Amino acid sequence: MIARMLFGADPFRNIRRLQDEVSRLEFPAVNVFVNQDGVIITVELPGVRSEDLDILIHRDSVTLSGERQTETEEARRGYHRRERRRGRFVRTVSLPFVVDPNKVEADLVNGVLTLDLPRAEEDKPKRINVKASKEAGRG
Amino acid sequence: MAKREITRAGTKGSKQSQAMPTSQPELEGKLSAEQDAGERTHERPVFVPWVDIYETETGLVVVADLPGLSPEGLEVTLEKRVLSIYGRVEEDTPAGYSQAYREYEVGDFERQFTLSGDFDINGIDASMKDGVLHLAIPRAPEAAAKRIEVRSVS
Repeated sequence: MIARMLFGADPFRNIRRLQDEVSRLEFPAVNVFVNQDGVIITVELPGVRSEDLDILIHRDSVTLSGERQTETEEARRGYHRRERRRGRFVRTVSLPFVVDPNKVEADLVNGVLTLDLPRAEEDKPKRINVKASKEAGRG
Repeated sequence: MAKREITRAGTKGSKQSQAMPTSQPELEGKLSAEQDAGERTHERPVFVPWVDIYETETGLVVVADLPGLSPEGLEVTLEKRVLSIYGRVEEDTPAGYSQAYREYEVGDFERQFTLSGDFDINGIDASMKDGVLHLAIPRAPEAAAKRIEVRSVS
């Protein structure tokens, strides 16, 4: 190895790192935020171009699929380290309510996808105004 | 030995409705940097970015995943063969929303490498695209052997 990357003196570090690596099963990682009018989902997708990403929305579920390319032509002389995830991924996220697929906004900025999913009008809770009729009330 | 300097926020009390995924997984997306560096003065999660490192004809290339990092928040230094990458990431919780489910946390990125061999500091090319840092570090040209003249002292 021409260039060796050295780390600190902790001998268990690599073991712990391996454990961490094994435990990261799901890719990509997803955060979900809600309020009564909609859901915002943020997804860590570093290196995924928008043309390689497919977003499918059906009622109350979102499916993200795509491909992450990390291979480059200049890397053929060999890797010293290869930790980054590569290959195809598919993830489905269930939402707490039905969303309107026509109003969804998707933004991919700095490797983070933000999906703004407004709640479908017909799924929103409706407030019922009770009319107090005088005859019935005071009768 | 470095102590655990990170207080993790956001793992507590997850409010899940029945339609959400049923189990709250370990926050597995990024690797905490607790193992690497000394204590920090600010309480903020710091993560070790995943990297690919490979050799090219002219030098080394380091590719690091830094999701959520804008190029302005990035600091790359090379000092005495220690290459440091530090990225400051802005908090992403949208205003007016409450967190329902969390798999990754937002925090800074930090990682250091000790390079062997001499590299040309001025020739480093750093670029960021889609949350991925690409660092091309050229090797320093072989220093021409310099002959030391020995004076003869009578």
